[in-house]
Amino acid sequence: MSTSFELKEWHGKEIFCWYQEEAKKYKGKTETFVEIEKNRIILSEILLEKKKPQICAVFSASYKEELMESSHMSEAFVVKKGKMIGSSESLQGTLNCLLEFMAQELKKVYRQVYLITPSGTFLYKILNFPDMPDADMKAALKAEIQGFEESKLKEEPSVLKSWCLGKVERKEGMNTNFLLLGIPRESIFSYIEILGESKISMSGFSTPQMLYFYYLNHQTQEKKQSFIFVELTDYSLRISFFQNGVLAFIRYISLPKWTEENRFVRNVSSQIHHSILYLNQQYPDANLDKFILFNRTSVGKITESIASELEFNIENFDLTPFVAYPDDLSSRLEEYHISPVAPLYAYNLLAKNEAIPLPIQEFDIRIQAKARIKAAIIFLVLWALVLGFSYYQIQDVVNAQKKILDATEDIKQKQKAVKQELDTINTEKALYLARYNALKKILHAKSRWLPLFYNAIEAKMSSMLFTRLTISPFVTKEEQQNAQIDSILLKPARIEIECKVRQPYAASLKLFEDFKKKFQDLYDIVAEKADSAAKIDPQTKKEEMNFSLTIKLKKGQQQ
Amino acid sequence: MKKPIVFYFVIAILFLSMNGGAYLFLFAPCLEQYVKQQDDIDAKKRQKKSITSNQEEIHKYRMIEKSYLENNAFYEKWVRKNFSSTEIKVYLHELGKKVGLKIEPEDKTEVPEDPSLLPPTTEVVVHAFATYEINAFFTPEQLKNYLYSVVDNQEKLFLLRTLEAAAVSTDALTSNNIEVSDKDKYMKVRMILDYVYFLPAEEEKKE
Repeated sequence: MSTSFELKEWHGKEIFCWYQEEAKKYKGKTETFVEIEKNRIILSEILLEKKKPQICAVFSASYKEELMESSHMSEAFVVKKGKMIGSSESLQGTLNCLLEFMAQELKKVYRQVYLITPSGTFLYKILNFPDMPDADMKAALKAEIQGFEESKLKEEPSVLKSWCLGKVERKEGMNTNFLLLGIPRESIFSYIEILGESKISMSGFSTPQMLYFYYLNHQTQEKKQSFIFVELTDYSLRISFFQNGVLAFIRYISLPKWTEENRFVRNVSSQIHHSILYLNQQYPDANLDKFILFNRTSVGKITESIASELEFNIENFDLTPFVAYPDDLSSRLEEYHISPVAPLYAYNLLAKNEAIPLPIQEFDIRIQAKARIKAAIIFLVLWALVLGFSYYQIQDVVNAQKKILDATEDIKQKQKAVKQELDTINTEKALYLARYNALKKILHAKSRWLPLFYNAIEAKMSSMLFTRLTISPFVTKEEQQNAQIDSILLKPARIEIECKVRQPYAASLKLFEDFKKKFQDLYDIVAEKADSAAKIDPQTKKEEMNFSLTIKLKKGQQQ
Repeated sequence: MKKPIVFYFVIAILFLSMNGGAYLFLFAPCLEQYVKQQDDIDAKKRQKKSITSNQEEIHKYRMIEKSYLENNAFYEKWVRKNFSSTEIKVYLHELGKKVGLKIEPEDKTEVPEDPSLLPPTTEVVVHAFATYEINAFFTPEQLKNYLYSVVDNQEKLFLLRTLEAAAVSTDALTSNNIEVSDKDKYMKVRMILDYVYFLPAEEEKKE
C-alpha cells in the first residue's frame, strides 16, 4: 500500500531560488511539492511559468497523531485547478488513500513527484474510468462497488461509499477517478459527502510557500511590503519573513507537548523573539510593515496573549471575510469542525490594510526593553539579597567579636594584679640590687689592702726593719681642699713602706730588692683580684679603685 | 524607557541609592562597631601579651628569689637601728684586751649624723660610718691579731682607713711602761678605723 518516490528536502528560502532557476529551464513543466508537518500534509502542484508560477492543485490534510479516533474531526481536502475536488476527516487510512491516489495520478502525468506516504490500514479501491457516457460509468461504478463489498467488506461492519475525485487530463483524453472507501463511521461519510457536494471554491494556500506564490501573483510593483507571517499550530511554529515582497527567511519549529496554556504562550513568544533577534542580525535595515499571526491552535485568544508578551501589535489572520461558504454549510461549519485553511490573507494585506513601516530593530528594541526591565528588577533584587547577606555576614563577625570581648572581660583586673606584683618585685629587686652593690663595694674596700699589710708585717717579723709603714686612702689634692670625704671609704689605697736593714749595705740592698719584688708581685695579684671581684672596668680602675704602692729604702740608716 | 540610556541612568540611580542607603543605615554603623570592637580586642591582646611577659618576669624572679633574699639577709646583718658610738668603743677596747693591750679608741667621727648629709651611695641604700682613731704600741704579732679581729669579724663591719706604723724611740716606750729591751719589737701604730653600718629600710623610706 505504501508508495515510494524520489524525495527531496526543501527549506524556506531555497524554494525561491529553486523557482528562479527551474522556471527558466523547465518552462511549462509541473512540479509537485509535499509539505509534511507533524500533524498536516500539504501537497501541491506548481506549473512553472517564466513570469510567475501557477498553482494547479493543492491537497491539504491535517490530523492529530495521538487522537486518531474517528470521532475527532479534522480536515482533509483536495483542490484541483481552483476547485475543491474532495475532502475527508483526517483519519490515517483516509489520508493514505488520498495521498496514494494523488501520487498515482500525478505520476501518470508529471515527470517527478516528491512525496512521502505514511502507511496505514484502510480499505479502499481506486477506480479509473476512461471517458464514457454517464449511464455506463454509473453501471461500471455500481459493479465495482458490489465487487469490492463482496471481496473486502464481507466481515466488516463498515459501509462503503464511493467518492468521485474528479477528472484527470491525460494524453489520450480525460479519465475519471473514483475512490472507494470502506470506513466504519457514518459521520465520516456524511462529512465527506457534504464537502464533496458543497464544491467550495478556494483559491487559497495554507503554507508560507504557497503564500509566497500567491503573494507573487498579487503583489503590485509599486508597493512591496515586508512582513512576518507566523503560522502556529498546537505542535509547530512556522515563521516566515518577507522582505519587500521576497520570501527571505523561514523557520520551522516543532513545539513540545503542552498542558498549560501560559507555558505554551511563553514558549511560542520566546521562539518568535529569537527569530526576530536573528532577523535583526541578518537584515538590520529591514522595515517591518506587519506582523501577522495565523492561529491554528486550540487556544482561542493566543494572538492577544502573544501580543501582550511581546508588547507588539499583532494582527490576527482571519479568513472569514474572504471565504464564501454556501449557506447550508456555513451554518454547520462548527458542527463539522471545519476550519478552512485559506491564506487569502496576502490579498487582504495588500488590499485593505495600510502599511505601517516599523523597523525590525525598533520592534526588537521593544522586546529588549521589556527584557531589560525584567533583568534590572532581577538584578536589583539579587543585589539587595547580596547586600542583605553581606550585612548578615558582618553582623556575624561583629557578634563573634562581642563574644571574644565578653570572654576576655576579666583581663584588666588580672593585668592590674600582675602588674602590681611585678612592680613590687621590681622595687624589691632594685632595692636588693642596690643594697648588694653598695655592700659589695664596701666589702671590696675592706679587703683591698689587708693581704699586703699582712705580708709587710710578716716581713718585719723576719729580717726587715720598717721605719715607717703607711696605708691611707688615695685622696687627690683637690679632694683634700674641698674636704670631699663622702666617698672616702671607697677610695683606692696608697701604701708607703720605708725600711732599713740590719745587715751590711750590699746584702741589705739585695734583701730590700728581693722584698720589693716579692711585694710588688703580690700587690699586682691582689690588685687584679680585688678589681675583678668588684667587677671594676680595667679602663676606669684608676679612677675607681686602685692601689698606689711606694717602697723606698731610707738612706743613711743602715747599720 | 524606550531610550536605553535613560533606562540605564534610572537603574544606575536606583543601584547607587540602594548601595548608599545600605551603607548609611546598615554597613556604616556595623563597620563603626566593628572597628571599635577590634580596637578593644587588640588592646586586650596587648594586655594579654603584657601580662604574659610580666608573668614570665615574675616567674624568673621567683626562680632566683632565694639568692636575692640571701644577699639581702647578708645586708640586713649590717643594719643598725640604734647606733651607739660608745658600744663600738667598748668593743674595740675589749678587743685590745684580748691581744694584751689597753686600747682607748678616740671618737673621730667627722661626718654629721644628719641623714641629709650622708653620702648618697645609691638612691635607696644609705650607709653611715663612725670613725675611731687608735694610738698604741704593737708588736707585729699583736698588730696582726688585732687587725684580724677588727677587719675579719662577721658581726661588725670595720674598714681601715689609715694605718701608720713607725719605729719608736726608747723614750716613748719608757713613758708607756714598756721594757726597752723589746724596743725593736714594738711599732708605734696609729690607725683610723671606720665603722660602717646601714640604715634600716624604714629610715631610708623616710629620707
